[in-house]
Amino acid sequence: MGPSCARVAALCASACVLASFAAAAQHSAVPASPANAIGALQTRDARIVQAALEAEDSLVYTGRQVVIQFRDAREQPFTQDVAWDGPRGLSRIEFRPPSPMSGAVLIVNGQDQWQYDPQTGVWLHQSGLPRTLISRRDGVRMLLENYEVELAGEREVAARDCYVYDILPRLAGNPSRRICVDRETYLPLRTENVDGLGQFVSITYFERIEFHRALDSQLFAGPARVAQVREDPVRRAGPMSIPEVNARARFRVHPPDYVPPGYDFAGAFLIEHATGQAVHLQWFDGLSLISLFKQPQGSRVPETGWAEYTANSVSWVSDGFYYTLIGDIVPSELARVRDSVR
Amino acid sequence: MKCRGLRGAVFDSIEGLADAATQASVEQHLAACERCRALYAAHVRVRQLTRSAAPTVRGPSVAQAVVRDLEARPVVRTRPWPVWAGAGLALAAAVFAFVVLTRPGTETVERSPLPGRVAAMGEPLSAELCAREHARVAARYAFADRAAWALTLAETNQRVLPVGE
Repeated sequence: MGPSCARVAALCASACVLASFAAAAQHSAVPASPANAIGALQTRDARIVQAALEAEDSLVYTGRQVVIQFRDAREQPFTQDVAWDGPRGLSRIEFRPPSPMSGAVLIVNGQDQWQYDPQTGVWLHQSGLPRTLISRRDGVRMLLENYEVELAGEREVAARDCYVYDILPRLAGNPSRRICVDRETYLPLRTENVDGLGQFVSITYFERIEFHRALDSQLFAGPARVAQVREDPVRRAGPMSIPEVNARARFRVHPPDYVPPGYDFAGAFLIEHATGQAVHLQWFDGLSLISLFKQPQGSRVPETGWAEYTANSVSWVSDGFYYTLIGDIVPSELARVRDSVR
Repeated sequence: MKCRGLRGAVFDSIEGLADAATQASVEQHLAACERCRALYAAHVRVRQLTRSAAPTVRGPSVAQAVVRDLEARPVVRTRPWPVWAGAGLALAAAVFAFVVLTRPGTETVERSPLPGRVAAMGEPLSAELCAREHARVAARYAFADRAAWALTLAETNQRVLPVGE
């Protein structure tokens, strides 16, 4: 067995650990009450998990990450250099070869996001990073209600000692996650994402990382004044409640009659684009996000059926509207949500 | 090799990826350190359990299996109705809606606009652009794999919104 095949086997074994827990959850899980869920997590582990959630806010670092995406039963590794300034809300990612994105740069500077295309020399600008209706505190509560967080051991990532935690669903069909948390800074240095069927979605890890007191602001500067800039044609307003979005949209939306257990409504966005309007509804369970888009069908027949983009996706047309449902949960649960949409 | 060094080499050793010198160091350390022997044994056990619990080869897309299942189900087909039947039904529906939906305490439901009116409301975002919107929000949540989401967003931006237009 060559090294690459052995690595795949090792990664598959990791996914199987998470999948086996997901399968066990189907037969034996009884959702814990909020108080029991939080209390069940050992105090030391709770402190580490809480610290891991907040680590990025206070850290400044540079490093090189490897992102492996699993699409169409293939591994696709990409490498990117990252600079992060948590206290100032700044980040920069530069994509490296052999990625097809090689040379592209993605910068977040406060509420502005800039993406540089090296082939054309044009910058794409997006303003307004999305907020959520669910606070971080509520998100942690939901995470512990809907998932078991277990210490799975220790390992080295980027030559740093890490705790390994598995985030496993209490209810079958939800995704899993394994995070390797740096023992010194509590920053997650490796993340393994597994969908509701136990199949890898992505693996990201630092090859190297250096922590700093501060970074030069020029590192996060957007385009020069003379550069070509193109504005993102999509505008978003939100998050808002369903009555609020119904008051502003040109059509009405209704939440689906069925939403998987554990998911709370996380807000609605009103999306305006060059050729129309869409409403984006979201539900969140502490780890996993479900999105439902509703928009007028238009004059052309849009793409319908199942697809795999960043997550499982299904699109359909009904009563003159085009719907798209996206989530990391199993397709059968997405189908149930889809069938309950009025 | 010390305990710290073993933790970095244990996975490679179990998977047979360690070179001869490293493997020899691992074995020498395990012979002398009871605590690391227990750690090593635990990792070996996990590997055995996962290999016997589930296949290690990624199977075909489950989405395709779901589509096949859905396509095998009976489909209720609609046929064009005569104009008079449609008008009669529309009138009956309107009366029903007026009577039922305006009762005190009943939520008012606005029906979807007819296709003729919808066409004037523009063209929809593609499913891929919807996936981009999903990724934008997902990346903001705790324990999100921001690096993977950033890559996805950048790819989608470049592919679906070409900046060279």
